[in-house]
Amino acid sequence: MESNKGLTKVDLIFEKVDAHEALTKAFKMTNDEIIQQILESGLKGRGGAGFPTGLKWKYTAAEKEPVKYIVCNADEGEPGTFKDREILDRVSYKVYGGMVIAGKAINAKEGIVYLRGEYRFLLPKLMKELEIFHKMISEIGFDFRIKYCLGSGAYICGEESALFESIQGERGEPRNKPPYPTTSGVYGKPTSINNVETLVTAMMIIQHGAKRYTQLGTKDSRGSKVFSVSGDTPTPGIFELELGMSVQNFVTEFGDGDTKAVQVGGASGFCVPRKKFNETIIGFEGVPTGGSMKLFNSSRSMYNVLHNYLDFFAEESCGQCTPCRVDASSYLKELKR
Amino acid sequence: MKELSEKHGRKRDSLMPILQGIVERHNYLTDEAMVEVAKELDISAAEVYGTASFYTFLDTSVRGKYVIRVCKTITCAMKGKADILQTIEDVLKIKVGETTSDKMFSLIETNCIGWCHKAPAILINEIPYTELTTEKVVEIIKDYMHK
Repeated sequence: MESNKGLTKVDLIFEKVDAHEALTKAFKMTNDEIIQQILESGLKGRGGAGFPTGLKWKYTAAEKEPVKYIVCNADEGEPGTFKDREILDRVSYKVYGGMVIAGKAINAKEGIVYLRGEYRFLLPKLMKELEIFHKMISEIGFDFRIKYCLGSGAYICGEESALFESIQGERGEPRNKPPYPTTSGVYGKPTSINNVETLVTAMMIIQHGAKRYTQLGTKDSRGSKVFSVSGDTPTPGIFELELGMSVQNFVTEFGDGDTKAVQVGGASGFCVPRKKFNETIIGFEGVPTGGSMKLFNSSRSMYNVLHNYLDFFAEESCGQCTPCRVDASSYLKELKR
Repeated sequence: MKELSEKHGRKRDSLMPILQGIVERHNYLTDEAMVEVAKELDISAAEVYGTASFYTFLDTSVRGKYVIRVCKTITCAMKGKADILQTIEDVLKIKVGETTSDKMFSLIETNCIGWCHKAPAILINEIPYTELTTEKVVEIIKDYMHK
């Protein structure tokens, strides 16, 4: 199937907005109106799993519990993604803004940003910006407070329930589901946990309206997305692109003329070989992604790539479930033979 | 320890920030430190060790004042990580996993630290250094030696 979308650069995530004005506007909306806008936008989680954000907010809002939480997942550990760091570094006020809007929608007064330990160097700056933000929302009359929790180098903590365990001071081992976070999340309270980029996107949807957002992307993959581009490319970095392009469109823009494979979605994602570039759409109808895009040219041994990934999983397995704990190491051993 | 638990509280969710605070000041967690934290929070030392041992940044073995973490994940591996690692080993005269005898440097490998577009990259304590060359990394390590 040929993609109906080309490659289009978008500027939504890093676009400057007047946060005071945007949040004052959001503050005047009812909780249902906010959730309705996000539902209509078709926004799906930008961390990689792609759960509809509006539904997450709707389910959490429906819980009667008086204490609820908004958690921002900034534990960006998937190999090849670095967009959340860039977003926090450049527009943290929009991350906080998204959290406040989500907080209003579900009736939460507290937000927690879980930042990966590898990004600790950013924390002093982020805290300073948070202080300014807190002052601003107090002026508007929002009763919402955000705090930071720092990770300590465990990949699995990007998984939502492992992340909650970590916030609570426990080993970062994922919980059994159900119950889902919307009913029992951090501290056992209803929690909406959203990726950094999702929260910023949500704020921009409230700012510009769902209608404008749905003009971008495809039926299954609405809007745009920030991609982390690395590997064999003359232009590595962060790019916000409209969803719905084929891997071929992507390679034409970012490849070095000799691309033989693209790893979409990090080590836990999909490896798209050259012969499938044309038919593979980057999005929920093809290869969904949290934004990690690694290009490999013909000088690279895919054996080495696989070896590197298995090494990663063998080390990062939290050890709780047998298939992952045992198999990652066994595959690695077999591969080495 | 007292100061850290004053700052972060004595509840179970204070545990991570307290352990992180100890590592920040003393480079790693000794058995004695973990026992003391357990007393402060009124939980068992096994609970403290259980949490600490889950997280690679909460080291429970001896670490130097400066912990060098070399990213070994795919893009850094493709962009010259092996040379960077070899160079650091040569300058510090230690192998991966070791600490210099003056307890100034520890050298370890780590998984993706989120700088693939500027590979190869390392962390020295919390500070990232990116787009490294063997020359650049020698200069950086020498700067730390004279700190």
